[in-house]
Amino acid sequence: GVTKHARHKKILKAAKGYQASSGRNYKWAKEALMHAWSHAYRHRRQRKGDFRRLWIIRIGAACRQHDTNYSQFMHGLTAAGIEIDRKMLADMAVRDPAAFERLVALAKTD
Amino acid sequence: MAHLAPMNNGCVRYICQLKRLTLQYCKNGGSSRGIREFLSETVAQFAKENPHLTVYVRQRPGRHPRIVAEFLSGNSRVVSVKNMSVEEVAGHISLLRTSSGIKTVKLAKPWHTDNPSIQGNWTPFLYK
Repeated sequence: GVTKHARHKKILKAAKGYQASSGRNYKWAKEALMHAWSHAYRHRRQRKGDFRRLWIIRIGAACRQHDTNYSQFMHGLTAAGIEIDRKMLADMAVRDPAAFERLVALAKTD
Repeated sequence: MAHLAPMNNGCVRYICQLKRLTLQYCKNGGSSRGIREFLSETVAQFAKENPHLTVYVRQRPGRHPRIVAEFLSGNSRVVSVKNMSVEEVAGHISLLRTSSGIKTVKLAKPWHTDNPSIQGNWTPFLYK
């Protein structure tokens, strides 16, 4: 029927690119999409933690090149009153290593 | 660095990027009331004031009204003017007239820079 076709078409369009029956068959597409949507919901929340973990790894790697480690570095930053967030610190470690070196020096003082 | 107009339009000479407007409305629908009023009052003068634009008026019975704008770049934008007043319709049309033809696209990041690294990116040999 017309309405059924319209409803199914919407689901199949959302399942474009899915492998095998999930991309062709309405029944399996609906199942695949339910999983996909619940994963997307959960991972939108996890993404915030995932990125923070990535930034911390990068900051740790960068400050180990300058004879500290991540925990000493962050402690030194808070002691120096520097409030730059981990996202920017990781970005600086990659794009502006000279400035990052200065931050490490600041964190090491006293 | 402030975002410049595309192709520096307006720095020396301003070229209106809107090429064609198609106003689609319904003769009897309630949602078309605003655009019908716009068509009866303002559209003729608007078309006269903007000779570089072609304005088409098309009847679409039984459907909600919309404005289809086509730009010099080949992009098109469709604005639904369902249940809008005359002022709102005129506002949307002037927005289309003054817009560049860039497609409205969701920004991946809220910032943009052409030079993310001034002194050069980190390389493995930087602190060796």
